[in-house]
Amino acid sequence: MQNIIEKAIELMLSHDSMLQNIISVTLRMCFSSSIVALLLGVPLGAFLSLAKFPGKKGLIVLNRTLMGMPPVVCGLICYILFSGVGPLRHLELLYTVSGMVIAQVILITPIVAANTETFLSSMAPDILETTKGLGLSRWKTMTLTLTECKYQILSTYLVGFARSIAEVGAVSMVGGAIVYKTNVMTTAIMNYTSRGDFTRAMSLGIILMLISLLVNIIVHVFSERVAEK
Amino acid sequence: MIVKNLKKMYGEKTVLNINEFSFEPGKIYAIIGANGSGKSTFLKVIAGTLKPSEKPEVILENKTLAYMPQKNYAFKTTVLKNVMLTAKNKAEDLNLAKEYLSEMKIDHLMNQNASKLSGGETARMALCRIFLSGSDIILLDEPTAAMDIESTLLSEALIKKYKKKTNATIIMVTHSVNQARRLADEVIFMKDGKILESGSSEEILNSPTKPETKEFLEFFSSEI
Ligand SMILES: Nc1ncnc2c1ncn2[C@@H]1O[C@H](COP(=O)(O)OP(=O)(O)OP(=O)(O)O)[C@@H](O)[C@H]1O
Ligand SMILES: [Mg+2]
Repeated sequence: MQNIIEKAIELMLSHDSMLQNIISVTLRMCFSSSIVALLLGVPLGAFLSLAKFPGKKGLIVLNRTLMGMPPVVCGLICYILFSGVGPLRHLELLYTVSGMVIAQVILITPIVAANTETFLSSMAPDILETTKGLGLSRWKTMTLTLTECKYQILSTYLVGFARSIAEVGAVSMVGGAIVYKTNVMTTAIMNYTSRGDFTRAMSLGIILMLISLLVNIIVHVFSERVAEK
Repeated sequence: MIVKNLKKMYGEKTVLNINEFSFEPGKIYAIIGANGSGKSTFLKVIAGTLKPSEKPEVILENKTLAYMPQKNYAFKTTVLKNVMLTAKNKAEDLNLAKEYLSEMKIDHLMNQNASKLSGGETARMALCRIFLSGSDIILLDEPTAAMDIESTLLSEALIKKYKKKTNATIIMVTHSVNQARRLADEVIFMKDGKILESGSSEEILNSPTKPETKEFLEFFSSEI
């Protein structure tokens, strides 16, 4: 074990082109899917929390169900849609990073929406009572609310990013783990492990943890600043 | 301002039922009544922050209205920026904001994060904020409930001064009969969502006609 870790660190420090490609594909995918999911999920969550319409409870339950959707099910649906017999075959999304991003957005958006719905439902009533009482415009109310919730939004983003970087099922089905194209860290770890190449698998595992740590540190530092101001 | 048909029900329970009431400019109205008598609901329905059970009529006659809730939100920015939320003319309103803050003796907290203020300080800030809106009709829900005696008296002075300066209508809920005595021109006594009795402050507080009002006021005869 110790030997494997030593070798893994050695590999990380060498400029291994395949390793670097896996990392860059992973980051490209994670940033894209988590940001798109944030841009879709926050307005959706705000709508679920603030709008009043019949069937709202049902929609919230549906969203929570989607939140727990197993990645392989999402992968399967996307595979069928993108494959040669699927309705979206002309978009040629199968075995591409874009296809993987779409699958992940489907997985992460409900999580972002549910989180947003939860924190807004607790924070918004007091904010809205005050802004409405002061007769502030809708636009001003919205920007004020977003500013008030920036820490919550950031932590929601982090949850989305973590889900994206750790996810295997959907990306391996839609992306196919093609070397130098759609192979991301999680799928590569699986492949290396099944091939018995524990050194490479472990070095990717360590990098994965380090990226996760780094993102958490950035968010922590940022949130401390937000809390101080 | 005339309000008509203010009704709010929760299930079968009617918590607000007011047919018609008219408020005059240049007067301070104190709404008194026991917990749960519908005082806050009354203000919220007028302000439009609570959806009533029937369509109400609030005739504003081109006047502007602002409402200060029982629970005030302090935005995570400076006290001054919180007060300046409704500012239209930046330079002019900045002076006014500072003036109000110093009258409420929180001008030294001007550049502090408002979300770190104490309850009483938040209420003092909220009072400055509501007056900065410059509205013709001001609704205040227990504005001094969280304040100490000094701040309470400062608030009362500010309320009076604002009324004098702008000829505004001020409608405030209070649990202090003595505060009503000090401030109000008119007193409204509420019970079970209805206005049981209303009239000039002297009339209602000194010689109420309804036995319920008498009973309510007797409780407060020992108030400090
Ligand atoms: N969301 C709600 N669901 C059910 N009942 C409610 C709800 N909100 C308020 N009520 C009821 O409506 C009644 C009037 O409430 P309101 O807040 O207007 O009273 P109040 O006179 O302001 O009391 P207080 O002096 O305690 O502030 C109360 O009996 C309260 O229990
Ligand atoms: Mg109340």
